[in-house]
Amino acid sequence: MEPPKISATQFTIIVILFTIGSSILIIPSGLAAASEQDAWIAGIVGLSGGLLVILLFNALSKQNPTLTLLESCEVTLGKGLGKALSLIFISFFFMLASTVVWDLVNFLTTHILVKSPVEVISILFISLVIFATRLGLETIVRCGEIFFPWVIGLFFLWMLFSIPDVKFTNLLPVMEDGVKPIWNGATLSMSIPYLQLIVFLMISPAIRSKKTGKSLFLGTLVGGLILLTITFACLLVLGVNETIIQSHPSYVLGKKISFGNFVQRIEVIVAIIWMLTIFFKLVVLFYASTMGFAQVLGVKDYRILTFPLGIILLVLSLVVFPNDTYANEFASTSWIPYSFTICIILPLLLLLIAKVKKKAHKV
Amino acid sequence: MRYVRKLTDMKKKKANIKEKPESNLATNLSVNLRENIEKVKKTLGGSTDIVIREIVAGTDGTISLAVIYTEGLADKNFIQDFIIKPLMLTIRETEISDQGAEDLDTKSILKNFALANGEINEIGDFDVLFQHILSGDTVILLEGYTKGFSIGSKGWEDRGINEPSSQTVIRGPKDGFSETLRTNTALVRRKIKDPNLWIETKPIGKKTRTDVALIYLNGVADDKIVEEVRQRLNKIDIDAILESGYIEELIQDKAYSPFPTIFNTERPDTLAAGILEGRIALIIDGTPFALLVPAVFVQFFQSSEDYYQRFDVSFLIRLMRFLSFFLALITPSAYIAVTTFHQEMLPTQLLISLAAQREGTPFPALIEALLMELTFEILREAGVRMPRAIGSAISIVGALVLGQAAVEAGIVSSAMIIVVSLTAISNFVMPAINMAISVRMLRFPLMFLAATFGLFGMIIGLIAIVLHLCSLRSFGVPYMSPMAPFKLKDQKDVIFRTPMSRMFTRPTFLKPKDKVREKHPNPESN
Repeated sequence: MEPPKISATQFTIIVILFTIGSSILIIPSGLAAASEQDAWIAGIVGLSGGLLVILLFNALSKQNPTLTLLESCEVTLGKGLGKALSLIFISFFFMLASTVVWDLVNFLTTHILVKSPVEVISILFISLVIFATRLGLETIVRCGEIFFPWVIGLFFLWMLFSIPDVKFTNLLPVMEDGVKPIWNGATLSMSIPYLQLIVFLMISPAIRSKKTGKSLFLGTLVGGLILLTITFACLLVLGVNETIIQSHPSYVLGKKISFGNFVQRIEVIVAIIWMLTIFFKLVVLFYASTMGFAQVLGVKDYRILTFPLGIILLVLSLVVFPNDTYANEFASTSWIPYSFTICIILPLLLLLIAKVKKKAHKV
Repeated sequence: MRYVRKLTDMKKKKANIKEKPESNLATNLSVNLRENIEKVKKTLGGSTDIVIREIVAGTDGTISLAVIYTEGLADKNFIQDFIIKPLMLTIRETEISDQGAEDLDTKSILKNFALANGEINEIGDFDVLFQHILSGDTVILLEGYTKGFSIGSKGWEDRGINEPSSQTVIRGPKDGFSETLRTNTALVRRKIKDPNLWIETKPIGKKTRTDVALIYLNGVADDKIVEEVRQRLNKIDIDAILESGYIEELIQDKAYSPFPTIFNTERPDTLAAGILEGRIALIIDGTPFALLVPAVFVQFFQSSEDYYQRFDVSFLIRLMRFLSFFLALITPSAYIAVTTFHQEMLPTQLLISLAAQREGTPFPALIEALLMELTFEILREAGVRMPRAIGSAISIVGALVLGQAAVEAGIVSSAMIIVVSLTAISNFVMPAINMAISVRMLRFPLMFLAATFGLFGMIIGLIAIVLHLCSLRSFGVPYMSPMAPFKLKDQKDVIFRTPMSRMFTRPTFLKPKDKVREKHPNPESN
C-alpha cells in the first residue's frame, strides 16, 4: 500500500473542518454555562491557549517529521513502553470518536428525527465513515475540498442573516464575576476542540511539503475564529440565558432568523454545516484510530480493521453517555483533566525525553 | 462488490480453459497459383462477395495471375481502371527491354511498370492476405512466386459527414464523425495541421480486427498517460469490438462506478479541443463516437459551444448546468424529505396547499414519487427505442399519464407532477448523455434515503456520492480535479470560463509537457 500524499492546503482545510465539527453546536452552550456573558472572552483566551498547544504539537512533530505520533512514541520510548503509550492515545481518539457519534445522534433525535431509533441512525452514519476510511486519506481530504466552500458559504449566509437580530446589550456586564469564570470557560474551550487536534499528528507525515506546522496553525486559527463568531452570534441574538438553557443554541439561532419576512427558518443550513463538519471530524478520528491500531498491532493494511472497529465504535457510542445531562457534566468536569493529561502532559513528556535522548546521543 | 468481482474472475478462468488454439493461417503462399486460389476459396468458404479474376497477361501470355477483392468493400471502378486494365492492356504495349533491365522478373515489372497505384504492399503469407482482402484491398497473386501484392483500393459506401445527432450546438461547426476511421482522422487533421499530431493505429479484436487510432499531440500530451493508454489497449484480448463503448469499458479505471471516466464525443471540434489541451483521443473504426482520455468530472458539463459564445454568456449557462445537475439529482428526494419529515421548513401557506393536495392521494410521498419517476423513465425509454413513425403517439400518452389525468384520477398530487417534470427537464440540460444517465440512476437511492431518514439521509447519500467521486481516477488523473485537488490556475475553465485572452495555460492537472497556450495574452497591456 502506497503511503498517502496530501497537500498543505488540503491539510489546512481538513483541520478547519475538524475544528468546527461538533463544537459548532455544543461550544456556545458550554462556554456560556461556564462564563455567562463573558463566554466570548473565554473563547478568545481558549483560542490563544489552543494556538500555544498547537506550537507544542508542532515541536513534537518536528522531532520525527516522517513518523506519526504513535511511531515516534515507539522510537522515543522503545517498543514496550511506546506501544503502551500508543494504546493510551488510541483510546483517547476512540473515546472522542464515540462521543462525537453520540453528539450527532443526540442532536438528530432531539431536533430532526425525533421518532427514529438511535441505533439505525448510528449504523447509517458509521457505515458512511467506514466507507470513507476504506477509501483512504487522499479521498477524504479531496472530499473535504469539495465541501469546504459550501460550509464556508453557508456559514457566511447564516451569520449575515442573523445580523438584524443582534442586541449588544446582551454582552453587558463585562467581567461581572472577575477572572475565575473566564478561566473555567477557557479551559473548556481549550479541551473542546483545540486539544483534540493532537489527532492530526497521525496525519501530518502524509503532507507533501514541509509546511506542516504552518498549516496546522492556520487551520486552527481559522476554525477557532469561526467558533468564536458563532459564540458571539449566540450571545448577541439569543442572550445568555437561552444560550445556556438550549443544548444546541446555534441551531435555535438558525430557527430565530427572519430576514425581510422571506428568509425564515434557515436551521436547515445549520444542520447541513453541522452534519458535514461532524462527518469530517469523525472520519479523521476513526482513520487515526484504525491507523494507530494497525501500527500497534503490526497490521500492514489498516482497512482490515475498519469493520471490527466500526462495530465497537457503534456499541461504544450507544453506551458512552446515558443522557444529555450526564454528557454536559462529563464535558465540563472529567473531560478537561482527561484531555489535558493526554494532550498536554504526555506530549510534553515525550518532547522532553526525545530532546534529552538527542543530547545524550550527541555527547 | 467483491463477490461480484470474484464471480466474474471465475468466469474468466473458465473461459481461459475453454479457449481453443487459433487456426493456423500463418502459412506462406505457395508457388503454384492454382493451389493458392483453392486455399483462398476454401478458407473463405466460397463466400459470394469475394471476387477472384484470373488473367493471363504478358506479350506472349506467359504470366498467369489472379486478382482478388471483396465486392462492396473495394472500389470497383478503381480496380477496373487501374489494376485490371493495365494488367491486360498496358503491359502488352510496354517495351520492357528498352529499359535495359532484362534481368527483371515478372514481379518487379508489374510493380514498376504496370500498376500505377499509390498504396502497394508485398505480402507473403495467408494471414496478411486475408486481412487485406477483408478490409477492402485488392490482392494480386502470381504464378511462380511465393509473394503477392496488395493494392489499397478501399472504397465502400458510407454515410458521409452529417450533422451530429447528439451534442448539437447553435453556433459552431456542424460536421460530425462518421463510421469510417479514415474520414474521422481526416476531420481531426483538418482542424489541427501540426506535424506533432501523431496517429497510431492498431487492430483490436481477434475476429473483427477493428482499427483503433490513438491520436495525441506529441510534445503536449503527457508521455506517461500516452504509454498508459497504449498498455491498456495492448492488454485487450477480446473477439470483437463493435463500438467505442467496448473499448471504453475495457480500458476504464473502475468498472463498478455509476460515473463515466472516459469522455465520448461525436464532434471533431470537441475532440480537437481535447487533444490540444493534452488529452489523448481514440477513434474506433465503425462508430462515430470517439473517446477522449483522461476525463474529469467537470468536462461532462462543458459544451463546445461554451467557447464559441461570449464568455459571460457561457459562464451563466455553465452555472445553470451545474444547478440543473443538482436539481435532477435531489429534487424528488428533497420533496419526499420535506413532506415526510420536515414540514416546518415550508412556509405556512405552501404547507397548507400541499397538505390539501396530498389529502386525496392514497400513497405515501415515496411511493408516489417512485411511481411517477418510473413512469417517466419508461416513457423516455419508449421514446428512444420506438420507430419514428409512431413517435407522436408517445407524446399524447405521456401528456395523459404524466399530466392532469393522473392528478384527477387521484393517484398523485399535482405538486408531484411538477417535481417529476422539473427533474426530467433538468436532466436533459446535461450536454453529456452518459453523465445524465448516472444522475438518473443515483436519484433512486437518494429517494429511499430521504424517505427513511429525511434530510439526514440525503446528506449521507450526497457525502457518499462525493466520496466516491473523489476516489475515482481517470488514467491517473483525479476525477474531481481541478476542484479536488484544488488548483487555482486551472479554475479559469471549470465553473467560470474566462475570456479567451485570459486562457494562458493548458489545464495543469493533465500534466501537459507544453503548458503555454498564449504567449502574449492581452494585446491591450502591451
